[in-house]
Amino acid sequence: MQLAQFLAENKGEIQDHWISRVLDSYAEDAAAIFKREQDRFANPVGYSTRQTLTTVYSLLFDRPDQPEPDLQQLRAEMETFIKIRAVQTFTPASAVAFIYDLKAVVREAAAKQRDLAATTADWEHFHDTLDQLALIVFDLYVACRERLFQTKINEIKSMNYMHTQHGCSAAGQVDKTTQLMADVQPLHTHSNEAR
Amino acid sequence: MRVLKAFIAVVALVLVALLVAQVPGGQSLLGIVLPYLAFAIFLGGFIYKVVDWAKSPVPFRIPTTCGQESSLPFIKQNKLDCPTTKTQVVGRMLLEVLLFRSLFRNTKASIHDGPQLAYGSNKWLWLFGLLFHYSFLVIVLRHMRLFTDPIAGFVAPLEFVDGFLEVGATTIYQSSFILLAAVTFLFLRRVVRPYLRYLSLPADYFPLMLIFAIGATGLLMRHVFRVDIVSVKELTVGLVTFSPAINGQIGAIFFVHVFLVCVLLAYFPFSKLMHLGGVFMSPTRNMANNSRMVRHENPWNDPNIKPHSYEAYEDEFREFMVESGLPVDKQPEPAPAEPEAGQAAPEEESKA
Amino acid sequence: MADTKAAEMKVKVVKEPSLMTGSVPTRDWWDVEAIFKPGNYCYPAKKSIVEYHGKNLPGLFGEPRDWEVESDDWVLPDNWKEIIINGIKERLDKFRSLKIFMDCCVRCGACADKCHFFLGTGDPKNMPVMRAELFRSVYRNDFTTAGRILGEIAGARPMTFKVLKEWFMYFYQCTECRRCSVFCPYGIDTAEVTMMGRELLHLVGVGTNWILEPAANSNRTGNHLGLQPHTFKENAEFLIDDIEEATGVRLESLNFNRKGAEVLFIIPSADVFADPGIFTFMGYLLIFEQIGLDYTISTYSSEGGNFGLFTNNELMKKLNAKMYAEAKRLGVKWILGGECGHMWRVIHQYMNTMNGPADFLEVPRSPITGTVFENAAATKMVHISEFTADLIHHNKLKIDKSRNDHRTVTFHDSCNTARGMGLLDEPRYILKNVCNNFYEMPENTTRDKTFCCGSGTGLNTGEIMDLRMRAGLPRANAVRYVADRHGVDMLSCVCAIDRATLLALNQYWNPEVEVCGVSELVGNALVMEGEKERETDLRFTPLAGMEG
Repeated sequence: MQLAQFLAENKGEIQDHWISRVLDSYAEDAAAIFKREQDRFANPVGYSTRQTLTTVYSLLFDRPDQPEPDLQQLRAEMETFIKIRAVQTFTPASAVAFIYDLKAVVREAAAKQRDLAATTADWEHFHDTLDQLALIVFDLYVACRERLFQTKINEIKSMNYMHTQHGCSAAGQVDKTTQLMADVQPLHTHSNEAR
Repeated sequence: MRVLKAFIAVVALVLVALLVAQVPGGQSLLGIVLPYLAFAIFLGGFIYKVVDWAKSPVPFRIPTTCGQESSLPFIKQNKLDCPTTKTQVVGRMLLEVLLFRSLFRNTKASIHDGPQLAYGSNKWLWLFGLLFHYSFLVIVLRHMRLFTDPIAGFVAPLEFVDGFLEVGATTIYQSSFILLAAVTFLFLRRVVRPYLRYLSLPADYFPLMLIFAIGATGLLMRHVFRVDIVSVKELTVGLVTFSPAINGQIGAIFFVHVFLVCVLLAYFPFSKLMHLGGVFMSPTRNMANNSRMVRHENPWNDPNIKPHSYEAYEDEFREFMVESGLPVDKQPEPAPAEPEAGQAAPEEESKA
Repeated sequence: MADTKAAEMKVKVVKEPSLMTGSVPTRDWWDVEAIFKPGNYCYPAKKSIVEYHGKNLPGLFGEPRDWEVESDDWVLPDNWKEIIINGIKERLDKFRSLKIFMDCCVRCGACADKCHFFLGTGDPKNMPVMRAELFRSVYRNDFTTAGRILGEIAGARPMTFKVLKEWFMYFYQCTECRRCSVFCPYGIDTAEVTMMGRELLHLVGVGTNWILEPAANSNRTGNHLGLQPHTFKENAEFLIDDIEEATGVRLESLNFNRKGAEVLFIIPSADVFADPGIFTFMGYLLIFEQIGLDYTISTYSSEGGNFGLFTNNELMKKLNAKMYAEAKRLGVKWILGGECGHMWRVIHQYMNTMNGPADFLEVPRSPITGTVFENAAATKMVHISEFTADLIHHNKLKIDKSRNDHRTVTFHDSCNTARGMGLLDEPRYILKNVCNNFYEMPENTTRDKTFCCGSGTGLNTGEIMDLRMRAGLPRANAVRYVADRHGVDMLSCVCAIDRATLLALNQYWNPEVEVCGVSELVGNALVMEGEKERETDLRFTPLAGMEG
């Protein structure tokens, strides 16, 4: 059996392992506060994890003759998931780590499949794809954090809109942070541009 | 662990009762002394608690509004979820107390294929909560057969409705089984759902297990280990008429049952079971949303807390105000201007 | 191998417990300590600010000092435990709500998944029942028979520094939104518990700067930012220029501190200096000009908002007292209030009790329609949405709905007006009359079950932006839903904190959705006498058909 065929045929099982492994990451925490439970309490986080990982896997390995994945589509699919992770006290590295989880899950599954005839080239291609994915995730994560900080700046500006944006004569009354922000960020004349 | 603590407590209570029932004088203790004591604690404790609550004032009118307020004639008020009159409040309270209105609202965050996060309706807790409380009430009322002679008029019809089939000579009351089923549900829910297990205390498991044990001993007494019902009634009526006496062999199971009920009664005022009283006194539910229509008095309102006065404000900013054309109460002195009034330290006013 | 590395990384992953992922705690909640790290706490109040409040209200704000939240030494007074326990006793005697809420909870868990903080963070101590248990455990230990005798078995624990840290963490991860109270069979209101918790924390000098500094400014200068009277006036007047540019009408009616006006108009001050509140302010002014309302705005009482509500009832009262004091000084007949959530919680449920009776005012009567606002007969203050809805109902405003056609609008009920007042249909009535494209967010996320913006009660500060984004996730999710389904690109609300915080929330989660006040949309649609042909709305976005 070819690697691509193997990945397509064992889709369900590999996906499940992958999802539970990513969710497990909450439990492998050094503090070991939590362990996993079967009946998952429904939630934005769990939902997004399951949904995103399933879709991403399908886009990559749905059929043995899967065409090269559309990176733009992959990026779009992962955006919400990464957005959530980006505000969840994950370290930047751990935001990417879930991609490497898939490598491990596939390797374990492949070890059990006796008739698997995967060439080195097959494996290289597989790893390259996931590495590429990891880079996208990293981009996304950084973009989310940037957006978050931009939001912070926007908030300070819009809260003091009349001072920072409107050339108000009372700008001298604003506290130092606001002034600093106004100095650092070129002034926009209208809020729409700021957005 | 917390489950275990509660379980051990209930088992211990059963054993104590079994043991004491065998000791000479033990039956009088369990059947006569303790019931009086427990009832006294219950009554005294309950009244004490309610009086204690009532001693604290309700300083502010803080109903939780769950519907449209009464405002303009063309906008329909939700009279039951956002009451403005006493009658409407009574309506809201009746819905709350008799039908558990708020629990009926219960939703559950869940994920649907589609996919989307939704907040669907979840009525299980409401249903079993309601079943539990009503079957408990029916059982208590049925027991009035034992405390009234002649038997109170409402008992027979109640028993007729409640008993749906007969096994041999014994009528089976559905309320007993509903009670046990509901208690079991409420217990399992706490154990199975992770977040409920996380927040439950021994004090949450204990009453459930105790009530289960009371129900179970009652059923056993009725259907398995039959007790001498005539002696029981003599005792119970005796208790009510303050001439209690234990005649003949009643059976140990009866004393276990009675002991557990006594424990429940005595435990009641010191526990969360006081929600029976509290539900009537919760300010977010029993107040009308009329705080803009009628002034609500706060007995400890402190008249000494005054706003930063306008005079102090104007004194601080007068020059700026005059300069920018704002009206002032007191014109600035024409004498040489004070240096930078706006930069001066703010003038303070004291609470006293 | 890559996998080993990944495993190592994961060890560092999440320090925050989460039931939301399907994980279950293996340790009892009282064994898990609150750990502060940058991003999960608000900065403590500056010494000078605490000094200022301490002078005005002695004894309520603790010893002014410099302290670090992440440190293990908060420089507390030696007898801090005694202060807290005495504080609890005093409050039990003063508030029946506290006693009942301490005694009655059966921990049924109906409130658990109703809290936006729990749904967004997954931290089990953010379940409302757990938040209250943090308080209750101490109450049981010192004030109940069962707790004194049985201790831990009865769920009691003594007050310790560990507990104090938990209080500071979780009473500042509650926005007092009251959503849990709607679902509680006994109406237990976590907002009350949080308020008491915060009052107690202040007694030992534990408070946040984001709340106490605006409160100090508000006391002294009249508004949160500390704008002095002339600056406040200039700010507002700048907007007249913008209105003229957008509508071609030069407003004449804006005035300040005028004695003898019929109506005193009080707004959250953010409406004169913050984007997008300024557009709401333009909306108010356009309405008043068009109907010829005899009103005035006060610079002394220039803040409708009341950060005292987020500290203790004494400071709330002190700040709020300005409204009646100013109404009396100016000799107005009644007061009209702008769009603000917690401001209206204070006005509706506290003002008359604290600072009334307002017998020097008259029962509000709209001079335009003659409607007498009987629902405000005692407090004598009317909400702008009530006022505007009444105007529209009597056809006193000429409306061109199509001027909002470039927007697809939804409405966010702010927690305080929804669950502390019942103002639900007035803004909707207005919206349906001023815009053609209006869609509701999903059921159970609006009206009395509305989700908080995640940043109320003085949590709208930048240092906890990550936390705010998590707390606002349930609200953002619902917005996402209508944005995807109906193309909603404008989230309207009647709350100044919402206008600031939903803006940030949407910039992160739903960047295409903007935020506005309801009055802004009225201002867009309102046909003014002598106006030019409108090409843009009040924020200079081209109208539908004018994009060229």
